[in-house]
Amino acid sequence: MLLEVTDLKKYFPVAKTFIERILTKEERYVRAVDGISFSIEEGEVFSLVGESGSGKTTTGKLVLRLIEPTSGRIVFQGTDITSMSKKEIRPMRRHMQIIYQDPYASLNPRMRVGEAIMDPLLIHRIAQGREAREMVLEMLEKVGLTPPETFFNSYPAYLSGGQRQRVAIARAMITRPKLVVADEPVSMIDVSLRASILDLMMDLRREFGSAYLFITHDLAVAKYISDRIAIMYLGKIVEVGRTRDLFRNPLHPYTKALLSAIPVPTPGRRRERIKLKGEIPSAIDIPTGCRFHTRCPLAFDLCSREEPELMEVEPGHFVACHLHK
Amino acid sequence: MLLEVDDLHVHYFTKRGVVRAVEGVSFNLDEAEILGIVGESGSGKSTLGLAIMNLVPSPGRIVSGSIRLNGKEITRMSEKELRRIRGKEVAMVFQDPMTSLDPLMRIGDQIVETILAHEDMTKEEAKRRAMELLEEVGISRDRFNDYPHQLSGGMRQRVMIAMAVSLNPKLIIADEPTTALDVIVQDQIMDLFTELRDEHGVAIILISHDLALELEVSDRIGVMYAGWLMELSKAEDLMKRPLNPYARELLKAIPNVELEDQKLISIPGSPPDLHSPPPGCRFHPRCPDAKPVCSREEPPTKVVDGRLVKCWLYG
Repeated sequence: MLLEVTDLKKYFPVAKTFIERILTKEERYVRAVDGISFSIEEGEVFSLVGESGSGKTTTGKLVLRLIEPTSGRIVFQGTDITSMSKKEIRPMRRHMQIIYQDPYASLNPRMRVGEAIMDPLLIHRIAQGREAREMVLEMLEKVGLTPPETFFNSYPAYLSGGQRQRVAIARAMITRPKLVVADEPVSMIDVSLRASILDLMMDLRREFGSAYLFITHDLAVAKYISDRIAIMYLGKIVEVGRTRDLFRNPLHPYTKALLSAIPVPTPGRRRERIKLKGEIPSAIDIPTGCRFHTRCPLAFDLCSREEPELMEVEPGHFVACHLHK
Repeated sequence: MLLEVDDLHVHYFTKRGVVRAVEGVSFNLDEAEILGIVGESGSGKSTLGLAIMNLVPSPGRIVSGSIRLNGKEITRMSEKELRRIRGKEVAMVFQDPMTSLDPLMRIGDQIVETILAHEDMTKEEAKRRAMELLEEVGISRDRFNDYPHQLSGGMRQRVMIAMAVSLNPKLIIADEPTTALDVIVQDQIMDLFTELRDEHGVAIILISHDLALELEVSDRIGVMYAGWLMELSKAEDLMKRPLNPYARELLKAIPNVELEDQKLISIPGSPPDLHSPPPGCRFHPRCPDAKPVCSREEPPTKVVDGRLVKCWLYG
């Protein structure tokens, strides 16, 4: 197993006003990630799908130890990295990279494209000088930025959004990482170009044997690339399974609602939908019992009292719902 | 005919030169119709929406063409006449409601103010109407005294829609109204738009980058690329048999969750910089069907089977 995450939690303290500090001792927390477990195999594409506020981005940052977990365990390539110091974790960074959503913000505008991609090679002492340059040119070619010599010397300002994201991918992949966290890598890319970016990421995965933790709000994108998908709601995984199983046989009412809300390019529309009331509640006041019960069209009395555990319903397909026991 | 746009040209006069953001766009819109305008970044779809309200920001302006709303020419109206029309005959909903809502004013009061600016009503009557409107868009009356920051993104967009319909306009222009929202909330907002159309006969121009969403919701769809209207067809026709190669290739690039093992195909290259668009057809560098003429001359817009298409394949 490449990555094993067990009962991971991240609580952010809520800043109190002056009056609140006087009146109450009780700390309040945003329970952004509230006890999730999952694992990723070598070379696997595993997607975390959820709405804003589901905790998916926080999970990605926790896994890479870019922020400190409140509790839980993260094991990467058999090594427990949960409480490693910054110094201890540094040599592992070449094996765990990240691609961000915004290709305009993630690149240094004063750094030439070639230098930006070379940077990780120098930091991790993988190569330098001519050798590093050769590796960067080869990588530019692989990500479709040709002729590579021209792109090596250009600045991000002269590139389109799609080209910038290719640079970000080249930079993340040049160390041939074992795990890449990709946080909404195509949501700011023009629709006509998205598939080519996704295809590029999948090609590089095949070539380097990297695994992806793919974070997205878009189930259609997740379906296109993932081996397995986990659906998150308010800091918890409510359903996880192989992509095919999840789409053929969605079990959690939230998964069903999410699936039925995705626009499908079919005119006449307005298929039969599972309508949900309201919006995702605040992660400060998480509902008791099943955290989805306040919006669930199928909730019954048990749901507000007892939190359901993830149970295996068919091989490799887990759901946390009292309807499936 | 509710709206007639004829050979509209909108340019931005920037330091780097003239950007022809909308060029030669023509279409009609009926009452109670939902017209989708779909395009990528830089397609001119947002500029087109603003032009219909005569709200193109400086350094841009409408350089030629005509926009008739209920037979009245919008491009030649005075600022005073325009103010009367905006809100009352045509209203706009933007992507980010926070840019249009006053953060220091209670949401109910903002709706009341809009109503009182245009309608001859007492404050009490306006308040009653505002409460009805909030309820109509799915917000409880007790939120009347809330400030915008107390509402979620979806609720703020509902408030914007309540304000947009407060003066009973015949036309609502919605520019990426759900792009910042999650899909479940997007679905709720789309229900609201279709209700407005079905129950009040409001026509809606829905501007979006999301072709799947447009196909689901719209009656007809205009596909824009680099300032041009490439095709205007019924949603069904566009889906079954797109005429313009750009529309056809775009359909191949969007995922459909209901299909198994779908292979998506991107369009090579990227949309042009409108400071220096390619000569001839603006899509020709990316077009799989490009012929020699396409790189030399602008294609004409033709009517084919009652659909508009701008492409040399039909020249």
